[in-house]
Amino acid sequence: MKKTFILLMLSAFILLAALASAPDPAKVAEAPPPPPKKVFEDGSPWKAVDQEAAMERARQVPEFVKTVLKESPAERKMRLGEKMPTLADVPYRYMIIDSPILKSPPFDFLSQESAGSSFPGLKIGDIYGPVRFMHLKHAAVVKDCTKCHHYKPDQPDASETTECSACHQKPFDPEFPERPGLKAAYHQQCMGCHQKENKGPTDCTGCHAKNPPDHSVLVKLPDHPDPLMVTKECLRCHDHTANDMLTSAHWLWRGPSPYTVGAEKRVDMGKATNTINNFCVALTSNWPRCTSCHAGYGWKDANFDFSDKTRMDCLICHDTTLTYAKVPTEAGMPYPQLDLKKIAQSVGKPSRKTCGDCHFQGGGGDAVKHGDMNGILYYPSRNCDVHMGGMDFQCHECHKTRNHKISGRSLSLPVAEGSRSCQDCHTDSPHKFHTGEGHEDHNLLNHHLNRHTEHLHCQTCHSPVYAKCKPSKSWWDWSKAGDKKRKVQKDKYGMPDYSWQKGEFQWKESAKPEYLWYNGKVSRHLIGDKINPEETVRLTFPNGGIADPESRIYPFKSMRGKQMADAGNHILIVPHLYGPEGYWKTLDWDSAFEKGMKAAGLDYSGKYEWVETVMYWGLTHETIPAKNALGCVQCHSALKGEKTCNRCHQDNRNVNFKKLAEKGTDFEFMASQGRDVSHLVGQSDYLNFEALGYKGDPIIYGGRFKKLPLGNETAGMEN
Amino acid sequence: MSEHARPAPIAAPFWTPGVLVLTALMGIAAIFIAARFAGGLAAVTNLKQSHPWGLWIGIDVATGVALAAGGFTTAALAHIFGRHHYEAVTRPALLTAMLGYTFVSVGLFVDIGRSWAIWKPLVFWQPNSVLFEVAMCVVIYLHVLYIEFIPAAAERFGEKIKILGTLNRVLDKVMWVFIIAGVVLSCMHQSGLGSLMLIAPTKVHPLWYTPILPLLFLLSAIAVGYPMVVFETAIATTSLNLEDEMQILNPLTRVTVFLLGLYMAVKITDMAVRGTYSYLFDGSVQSRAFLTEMIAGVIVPWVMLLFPGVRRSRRWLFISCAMIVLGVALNRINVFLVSYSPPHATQSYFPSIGEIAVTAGLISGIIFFYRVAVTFLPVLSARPREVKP
Amino acid sequence: MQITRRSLFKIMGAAGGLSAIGSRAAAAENTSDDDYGCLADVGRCIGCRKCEMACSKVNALPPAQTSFEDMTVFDRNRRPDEAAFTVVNRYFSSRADERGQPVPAYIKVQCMHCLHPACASACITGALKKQENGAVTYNPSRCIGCRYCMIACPFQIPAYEFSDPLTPRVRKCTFCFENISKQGGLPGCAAICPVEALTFGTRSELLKIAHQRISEAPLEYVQKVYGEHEVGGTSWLYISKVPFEKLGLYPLPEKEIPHLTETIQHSIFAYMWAPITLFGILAGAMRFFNPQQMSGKPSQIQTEKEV
Repeated sequence: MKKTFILLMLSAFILLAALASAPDPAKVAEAPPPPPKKVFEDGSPWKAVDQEAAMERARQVPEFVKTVLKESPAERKMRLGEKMPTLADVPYRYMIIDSPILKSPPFDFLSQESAGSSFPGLKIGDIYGPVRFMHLKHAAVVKDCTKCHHYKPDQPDASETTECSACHQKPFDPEFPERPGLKAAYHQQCMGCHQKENKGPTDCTGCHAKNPPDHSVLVKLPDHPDPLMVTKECLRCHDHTANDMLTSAHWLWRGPSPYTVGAEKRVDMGKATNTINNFCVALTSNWPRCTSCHAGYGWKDANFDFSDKTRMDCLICHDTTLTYAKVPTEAGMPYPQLDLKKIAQSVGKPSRKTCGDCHFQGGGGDAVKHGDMNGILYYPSRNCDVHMGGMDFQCHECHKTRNHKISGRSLSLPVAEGSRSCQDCHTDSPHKFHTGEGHEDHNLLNHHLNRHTEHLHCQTCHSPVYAKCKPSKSWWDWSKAGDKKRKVQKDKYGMPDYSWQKGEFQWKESAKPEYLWYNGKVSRHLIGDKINPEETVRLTFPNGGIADPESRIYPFKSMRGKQMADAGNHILIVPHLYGPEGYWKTLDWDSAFEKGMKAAGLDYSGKYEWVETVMYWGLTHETIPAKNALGCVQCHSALKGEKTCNRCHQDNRNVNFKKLAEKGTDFEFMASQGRDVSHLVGQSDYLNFEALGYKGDPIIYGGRFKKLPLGNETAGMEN
Repeated sequence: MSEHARPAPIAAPFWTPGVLVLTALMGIAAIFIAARFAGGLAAVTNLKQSHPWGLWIGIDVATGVALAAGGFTTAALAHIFGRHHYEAVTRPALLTAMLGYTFVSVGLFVDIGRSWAIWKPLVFWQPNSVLFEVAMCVVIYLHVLYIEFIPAAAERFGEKIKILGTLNRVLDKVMWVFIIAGVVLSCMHQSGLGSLMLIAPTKVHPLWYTPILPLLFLLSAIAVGYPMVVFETAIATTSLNLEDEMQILNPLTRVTVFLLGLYMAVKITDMAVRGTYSYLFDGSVQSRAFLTEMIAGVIVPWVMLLFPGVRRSRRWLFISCAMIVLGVALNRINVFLVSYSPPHATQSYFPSIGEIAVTAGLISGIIFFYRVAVTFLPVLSARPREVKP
Repeated sequence: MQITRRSLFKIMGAAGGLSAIGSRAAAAENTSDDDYGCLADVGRCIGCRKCEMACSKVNALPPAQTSFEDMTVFDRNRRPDEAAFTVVNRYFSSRADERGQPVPAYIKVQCMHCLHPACASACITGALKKQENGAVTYNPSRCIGCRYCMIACPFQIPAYEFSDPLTPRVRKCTFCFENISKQGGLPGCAAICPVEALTFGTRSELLKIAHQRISEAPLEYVQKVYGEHEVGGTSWLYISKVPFEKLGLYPLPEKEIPHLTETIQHSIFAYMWAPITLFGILAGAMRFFNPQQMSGKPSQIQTEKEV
């Protein structure tokens, strides 16, 4: 009775207090944004088509094969002769290696959660997820299907490449004591070969994604915990992990800069210290706004303690409810309305959502900064990104992470904790084979295409336009800011052209990248570097050149704009934008510059000017399906109209050359889908060879290191 | 040589400095035993997975049993073979044996992991197990010892406690059964103790591992019986200021020359037959321990006892008998601890302070209760030494 | 202590001689060809430690000190203990790969489930028992904690909960007895092993497989199945490409370990003939030397009083 009364009184008091405070709208934080909708652009439910098809295949268990034809490889070759299976017989390029067999008896006891055991929440039969298996790639590298498909069922009509699970099912079958079960068959085969060839992973996580244990039984928190309590609870088990995190780029916002020219050995560069951009310019003096993307809580000024593990924000990356979000202006604190207990109890691996919330939304909004990353990638179609849309790749599946150091690099920032490239999976000769009908001729191309990899980055052909599915900002003129009266217009993509806080914008959608030679090194303008106001200041610029064998042609988004510079000292200005005394409150540039420069420890002459700057952003995501990559003719105009291969090859092959060479990125189709690419239809010399330093189409004028044996007469061929 | 006086309680004051020291040692042991029952064996001992048996088994149990052999050897001599001359020492030897076995049980109680389950072998029989045989023999023998001691208690308290007197009179008629049973049981488990380690052929050093280890244990137990009586009588008479009983002890050691010689001969022959002399001088801890055990514990005292002069000298007799006693003690420690070197052990075993303290406490307990018994019960026959003018 | 071959022969020779005296065959007899066993192929083991994890989970063992993914544990040799019924150890053989790096060999260590287990023979109360399906199991409700099993085990397997003051248990691999007693059940380690370095089956079948595997690759495998004859045979068997001694599987006698003690026990205590005979002899001696003791006359001490 007494308790109820107290509770009643308490709730009444709380209600009153809530009512009293409710009228002040400034104090009520906005509701956190809802999770992205799992739909395609047209509103239909999203699914990763290739992935689901592969999963469906993996779920099927073929009828058990009891007797197999045991023959040595030599005997088999003798028997098959010309009929040896080839790459053309590969039915699926992509497979998921998983099996219901492994989840059924006698294995099922491993997948059960036993109460009172030493690892609550861990299903030991379920530690790892299924394997993404590039079947065709392996077939192409191994070259001999019978190496893996070692025996065939002892029936005349059985396939020479019967699937593994037909013969290998449950282990320790008393009837077939020496026949490994499916799991062992896979592991023996895969690891055995990887070991023998000294190629490919031999550790568990090299192939399998690891499933996190069920944290709902592990995380012990009171209701409505504050964020720091959550972190403390995480640290209870993951203290060593936090130590890894302490030295990571996502925590420090600085780190080693091995690819920045002149700073290869430095470890102090980064957003936290000395980089500047032409979006919101710089972090210093604007902390609470910018650090809403920091994997921490409360970095609100220069005094943030980077050794305090309890200020880490684990949930920003490990939330799986897709609901976690930080208030944009609270120095990294999450929305107070969120049920942090529930979120903490369902932590798991990062996802496109957790990474994307910061990396898609950089520069103050979706798709603003990166030309190849935006909110569409939460649930993209296969055409927008073949990896994420077709096979449901999560970011970390490419950006392999060790000890909370995430591999991958960008031009925009100097910090790199490891590097990733397409070749890591697709090898240096990625063009292997095209399956399916109508592609027979295509295989003739592979040799030619593979030779391109020495000179072109994959995305040059495989991502011919950027901001493919959503417009990205391409121009930002700070000098126009401050006009609260100016009417904001929408451009042809429906994007605003002006903000009184930020100035004037331009946007681009499905835009053709700029192509530059790039050897992996970046020249970078740092805070305090002298500028020449007469020239466009290159904040980041890819190094390389046609004569540099390390350089390849690479697609870039160039971000241009006008930003503030100290007219007396000839340095770029760090403005104080956010805060009670910031420009966005005062609209007073002089004061904003003075305060910003003071915070940055730089001398401000009192005079400012607007200078043009450019920033180059590499384009690596939004890979389109292979059949939509640039075709030969789209770059090599010399091949336009050719009907046969005999420009180079003496024999008259029975090949539909035209179909082969002229097939490519279908801009017409893209335009019909509403993309702004109509001007690209029928374009040739797509890369602009002359701008890249060639005399013209290399087919005619020769490559950068080698004259082609057969150009046209003017190129001075020898034979 | 005068006729023996009959056993009588001694009239010495009880609380001497020596007894106080014993009490202190028992107190310390009690603290460690409490710690063992609070924190487990790991809290007090240095036992580890590779060395599951330590000092408590090596000394408290194995050595304790061996040195209590005086009880059955003197009983055999005096009661079975009718050498009444030696009856004066049977009661102290019996008391030593009784206390020895009692404290063997206490030691085991502390050492086994589930002390409360110590009764279980009586219910769950496992006749393949040597330990089962030893345990059963020890349990029965302990009872036999107490029964054999009833006359002494009855003599003193038989009138006060009627049942004791009655029991004593009943027992008188069948005491011979218990006396013989005591000897048989002793032979069984003394040898059984030797069989214990035969189950670990790959872990026990070849210097000790022999199929006749049970025989060697029995022979050494028989051989150490009389020297142990000499040893304890000498200490008791000296510390209680009683007349020495050289007239009994001297002839006793003549038998020892034969018994110890037999043990020595069998042991050396066994070594020769098995060829294990190749390990004698390899410089290992085991070889040195074996040499010490054999030379200082068997050969030298045996040679000493060959000399009648040694046997007649109170001092030299004590020294040689002490050497035999320590030799047999070392043999038991060697067999159970030093020789035990499992192949996968990363560390060797050395007893902890706690183990040593508990062992010291248990030995003190034996002496303490011996002192209590001789003070209040008719055990010792020696007369107080005449104070020389 | 390293037991040299020579000393071992000596021990066994002597034991054999004694066994000739005692006619009764030693050790428990409830073993047959249909007993379960496990074949561990050292050549296949990749050292992933998943068996350790599965073991810990299936047997609800206390949490491990370090993660099962921590491969630095291989830097030192481990033994099964009260918190881990099985451990994997790494040994570097003399073999080297193409780059000259020594090739590691991983070996899983656990109870061998002997056909004639020394621990069960030693056990004072029969708490340890060889079950009919091959597992050597432990029943804590019988155990008194004497640790004689630990002394007896030639593989140094049983571990003890030394830190438990009142109810410590002997801990060792259970062969997942409850699981394998079920139709189609598997031990946790064999079920999780990703490469079937562990093959579960009947011992007779496993021996066939083992011999087939080693004879099919005579240049790779040591031509011996460890556990086939060692200590009278074990339910767990090993084949290896590296000499067994280098993996900590030392040579052991082929006689079952309890042979000597059980022979002694059974020859001396058969019908209690030895104690009864000794009693008889001593009674005879007493009757001869000291008849008045036997006739129930007052004991010597009281006689003296009368004197």
